[in-house]
Amino acid sequence: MTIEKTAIKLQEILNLDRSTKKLIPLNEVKITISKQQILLAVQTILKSGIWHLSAITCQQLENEFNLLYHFWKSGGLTLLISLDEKNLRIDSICSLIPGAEYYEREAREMFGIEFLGMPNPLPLLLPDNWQGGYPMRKKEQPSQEKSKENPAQEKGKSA
Amino acid sequence: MNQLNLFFRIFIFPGFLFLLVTALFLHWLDRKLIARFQGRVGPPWYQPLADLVRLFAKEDILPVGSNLFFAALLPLISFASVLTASFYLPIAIQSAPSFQGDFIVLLFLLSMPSLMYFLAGWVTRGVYSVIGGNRALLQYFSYEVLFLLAMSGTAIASGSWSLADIRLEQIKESPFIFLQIIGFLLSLAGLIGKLKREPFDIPKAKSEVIAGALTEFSGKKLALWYLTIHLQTMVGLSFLIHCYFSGFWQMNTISGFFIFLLLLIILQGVLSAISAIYARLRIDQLIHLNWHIFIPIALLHNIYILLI
Amino acid sequence: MNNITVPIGPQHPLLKEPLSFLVSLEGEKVTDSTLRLGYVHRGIEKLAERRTYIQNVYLIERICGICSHIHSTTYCQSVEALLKLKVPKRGLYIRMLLCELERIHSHLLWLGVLSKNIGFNTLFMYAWRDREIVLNIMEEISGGRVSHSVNIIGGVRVDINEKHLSLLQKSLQELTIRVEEILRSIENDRSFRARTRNIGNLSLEDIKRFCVVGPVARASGLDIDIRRDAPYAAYDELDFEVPLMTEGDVWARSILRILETIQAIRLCTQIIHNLPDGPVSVTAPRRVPAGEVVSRAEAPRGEVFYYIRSDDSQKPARLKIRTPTLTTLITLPGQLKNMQLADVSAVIAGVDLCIACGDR
Repeated sequence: MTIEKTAIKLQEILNLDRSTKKLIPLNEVKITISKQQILLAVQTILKSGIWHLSAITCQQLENEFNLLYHFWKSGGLTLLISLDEKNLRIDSICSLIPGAEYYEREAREMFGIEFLGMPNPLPLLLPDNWQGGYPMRKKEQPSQEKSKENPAQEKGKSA
Repeated sequence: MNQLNLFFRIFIFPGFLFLLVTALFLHWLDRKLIARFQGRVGPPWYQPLADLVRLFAKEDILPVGSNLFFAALLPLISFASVLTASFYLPIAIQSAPSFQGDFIVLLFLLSMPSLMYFLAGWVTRGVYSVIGGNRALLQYFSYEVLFLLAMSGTAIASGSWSLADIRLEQIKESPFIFLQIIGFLLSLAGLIGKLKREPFDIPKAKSEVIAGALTEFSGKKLALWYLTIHLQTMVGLSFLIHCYFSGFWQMNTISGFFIFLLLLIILQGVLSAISAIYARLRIDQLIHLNWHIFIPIALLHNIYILLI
Repeated sequence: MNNITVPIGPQHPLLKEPLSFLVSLEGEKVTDSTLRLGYVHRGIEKLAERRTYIQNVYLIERICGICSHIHSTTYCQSVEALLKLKVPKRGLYIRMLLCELERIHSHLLWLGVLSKNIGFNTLFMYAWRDREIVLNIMEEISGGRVSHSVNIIGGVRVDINEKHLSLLQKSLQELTIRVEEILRSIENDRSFRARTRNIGNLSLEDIKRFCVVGPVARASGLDIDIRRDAPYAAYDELDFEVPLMTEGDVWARSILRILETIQAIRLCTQIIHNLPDGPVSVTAPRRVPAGEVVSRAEAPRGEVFYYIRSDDSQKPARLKIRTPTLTTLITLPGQLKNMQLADVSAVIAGVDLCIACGDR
């Protein structure tokens, strides 16, 4: 099924208003859904033959966080979910799309979004002893004491 | 006068100095030829010597927990066994009197470095050393047997285990290279496996186990290991030349010596070509190749020699 | 036999860039493996928010050495979409030319690395010698062998003259002969097949589940290529094939990449024969109006994805990059199950990792 048809089907199944669908540059259809609908939306998309998830973007606006799920099949489909600052929890889609694991892990360590049901909640890019908070958030300054101890200064261990 | 003659023969020619110079020359030839096959320029003639000199100046450290005594002893034993082996080999000039069984002694001495290599992996504890040592042991069990079987063809044809008799037989009939070409090719394969050269260099494959059993060695110990490998190549090739090409020259003559050197260079060229052409085999492919293909052919070949 | 954990990385002759890969062995068989990224994480996305759009062009080029041009291409085309700029045709063609040259360079480099990892040093030397031809062309055109810096917002900053064209024609002919010779010699080489056949198998189902892109996906039968399916720059005006194989092992990936190199040479030849006249760039305003853009391109390793959100200022509000290496990294532990230690090098080389891209 093409992107256009999938978008229409999504709007039907999730009872979305026509204003939730927009077109953004380079041929991308953007649909705003609520966070409770994410699993149903992903299931619908998978059923219509679109399996490729390009990325999961997280961004922080003035008083909310946005999660964008970018799908693609000869054309792009983006799902926009708005999260309240005080409640950054959402279901993980790793059970439906195992390839989303790395993207969710990165969003978790960079922004602090809690994905419920994530299989591997370890940091992806940040060091194991990182103490500096969530680096990509806008208002926080990176703390001075970024890591508790400098691993290079540990006593040398032999092979 | 006899003392001076003995000193000259042991230390200068055909003793230590000659052996080391020829071994380094063969190693340079190997590197130069492989470089040319690969479209590169290759190192200058003094490169192997420069490498050894540089190694002697390096710091000699080993990981905590290694057995320092054995780590120092093993390269010495390997070097000593290869040097002793070279004394028994007549390199176009009679070096030591031949006796019954010196064929076997030579094979044993030549195989010592491989055993020491495996032990070196164990005494310098490190993940890569142990894995490299294990692989080397597996290869040792396979390709030493192949080398022995294939070379025995010449001993069987001569009816004795003495190097001098093998040579006499070749002078009487014809060099074994013509009668036992299959044996020669199998011996060459066995030698490549013994020396852990490409394509049989899985124990010291850089991309997997860094440097195999020798990963943790450096400095003088590593220099001794490298010298052992160079000498082992040279002695192995000389052994092959003696057993297969002996009828071509007269002992104790200048022309004989030069023919011997020429044969050494040609065989080293063959080894370099084989190294450049093939990709490295995995350990299970190596073992399969040995026990399912090479050894049966060697056995059949020896039976055939026995019967005729 | 005993259980050993072999650390492959962060420093290891197998890897071009630091990556921690702990492989648990039982004898020579791999039982488990864990991956740890982040050794070259520089925080590009955060840095981009503090720099202007023009300064970001320099930043984006330096995400990765070997795919630097495709990153800056995707970034520049995203910002041009926000600015509603139309890049002149000649600029687009020069962009495409460098994209394809970079693809050839990347694949030849990868071929050398694969051969070195499986012990085939001769092929490594030959592939890198042929790579020098491409590097010479790129140096003539842009001044840099690996990092070209030709993209600006609005087009490219270099132009191609007659001298470049004649050098290109000569070099591309030579390259065609050499790459086809390489293909002929390794397609049936027994030792190459012995080390790469049935190693690191990935089925089409795995590819879809893990959302893998690039040559790894195409070698398992998934027919995607951004250049053909959602053309950017001026790819819809050029004629090329997208090779596809179905075996899904390291051998298929190798042959596929060499076929792609031949296609890339063909594309370069088309570009230099059909190069339109005109300017190579337009001036871009510094202030970008508010909006969002999603842009994709086909890097040598697969689909590279950019998302930019702009508020009405000179600095981006959010820049999100997703590189193709992340999609292939996730398949590595699965590929290595029940392989031997000696195959680890072939598998890691077969997925063509670019950790600097993956870590950003």
